[in-house]
Amino acid sequence: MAYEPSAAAERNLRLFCTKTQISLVRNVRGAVFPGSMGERAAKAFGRRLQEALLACVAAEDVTDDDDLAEMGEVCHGLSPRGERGPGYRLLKATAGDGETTVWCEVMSANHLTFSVSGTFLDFVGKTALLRAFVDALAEPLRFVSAPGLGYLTAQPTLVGTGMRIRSWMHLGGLAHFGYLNELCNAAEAKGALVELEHPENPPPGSLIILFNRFSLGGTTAEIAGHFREFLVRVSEQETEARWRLLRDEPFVFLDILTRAKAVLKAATMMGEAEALDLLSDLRLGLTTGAATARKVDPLSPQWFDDATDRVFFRRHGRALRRKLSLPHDVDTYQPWREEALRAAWMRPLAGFALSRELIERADGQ
Amino acid sequence: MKCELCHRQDAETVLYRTRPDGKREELYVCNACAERERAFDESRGIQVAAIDTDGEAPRQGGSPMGELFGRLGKMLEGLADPEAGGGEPRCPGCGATMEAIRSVGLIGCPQCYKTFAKPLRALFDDCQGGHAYKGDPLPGAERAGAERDLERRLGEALRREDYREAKRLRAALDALRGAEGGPGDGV
Repeated sequence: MAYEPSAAAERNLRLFCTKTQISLVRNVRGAVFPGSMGERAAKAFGRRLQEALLACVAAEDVTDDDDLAEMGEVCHGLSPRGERGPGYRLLKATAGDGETTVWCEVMSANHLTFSVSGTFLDFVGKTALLRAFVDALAEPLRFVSAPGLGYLTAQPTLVGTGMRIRSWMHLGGLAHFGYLNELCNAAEAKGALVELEHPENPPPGSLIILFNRFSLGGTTAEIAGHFREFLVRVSEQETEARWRLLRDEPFVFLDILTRAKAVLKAATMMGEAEALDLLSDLRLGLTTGAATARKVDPLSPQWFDDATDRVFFRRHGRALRRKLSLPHDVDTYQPWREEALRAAWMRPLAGFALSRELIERADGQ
Repeated sequence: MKCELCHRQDAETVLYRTRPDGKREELYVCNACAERERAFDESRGIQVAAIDTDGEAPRQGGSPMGELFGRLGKMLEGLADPEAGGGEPRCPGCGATMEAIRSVGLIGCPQCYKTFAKPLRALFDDCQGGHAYKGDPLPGAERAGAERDLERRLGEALRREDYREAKRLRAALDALRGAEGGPGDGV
């Protein structure tokens, strides 16, 4: 029997999926992969590729050498770049629809990674757009491929279409009930994988990264379609877990939210993990109707990105330093300075109200 | 950047040298010097396996000595049997061994796919659940198909001794190959 997702699961996917990145990896003929080159040689090769790309596409933003590595780090925000090794962005161009931005990077393993990222859910459409962009470069750049294996890449898991879809899902409900291990097993069975640094503990903010495991046995559209289908199923499970939290454990839920409110209001220092956890609690409350937000919208997926160490200080640090006075005149390089700024930046989120329904349910329990 | 060995030509490739303190350093050299070091086959302490020649032959304007050693290197390369020394087979493109690929988890170059076809197929079966590409048509695949079709028809024409048809098909094949350079046939 064909799987029919519920309308709520489809709708809620937009709430749970905070960011998606679709990448296509390609290598050019006649050169070893960057993993076998020295660092300087790889960078020099990257510059040559940048020139070749500039001859083919109209780039909006060409990154210069000095900023390459650093900007790549910031641009990806939450992505676990440590695992993939350093990469650097070559340029930013616009895809065929005139709206979508395509990033082109040199990664430590492969020559070229073309990617689009954002809060979109039309995976198939965006994949087709990205593929059209990349295919137009196939002739001038001469991508290396073989009829039986597709595109040849340094990473064995990318051989074939060279496609990787990563989705950042906020799965606070499943994490609360300790269902992440089950999710990992289900994901593996469905051809997707879940990235968990420490499987025994939920990651900060219950922000789980899911990505496709296979890139060889289907077309890019099929891979994107199957992956989205799996995300809808996950969304269904997460919806159920959140309702269970509200229905069966209102007292616990009330405790989570009141604690979050108190910490957001009173904390003078806040680390990355704590900020992400608080955002997660807040989102749980808002999406179930257990809390209502005033003034600011904590459901914006941007909050998760901005609260991370990599993005926070770069994006907000300077502005905050001007706007907010810190309690003491401290040296700029004090490690807690950033945490103090983050606590001040998060404070407006404390202005949420708890719903009467939750309080009544908790009282009843 | 100038070659760090001859200091005359532009550096085009990288070699590795182990310093007396045991650390590995990169050496940026021109193609002629790279070929010369290849001829010495690591006897001078320079690892020549991981050469990125970018598929280009040494420049015509390279030093005569460099060219001579380059040719010598190629001859030695032709004589060398990767399995003769009893060591593990190495990829001629990047010098990687299958053991290194397994331990690092990264394939060194497109040539590795040819050198280690069998073990890599097993690796893909393991990590991707199969080793047959069923994705979108590759750019240049149509041309490769047309070429195969022409070759088949040429073979048939030669078998039935229809030389006029064979000449026509050969010309068509040459024209197709002359226009080639596409990406569909990387390995």
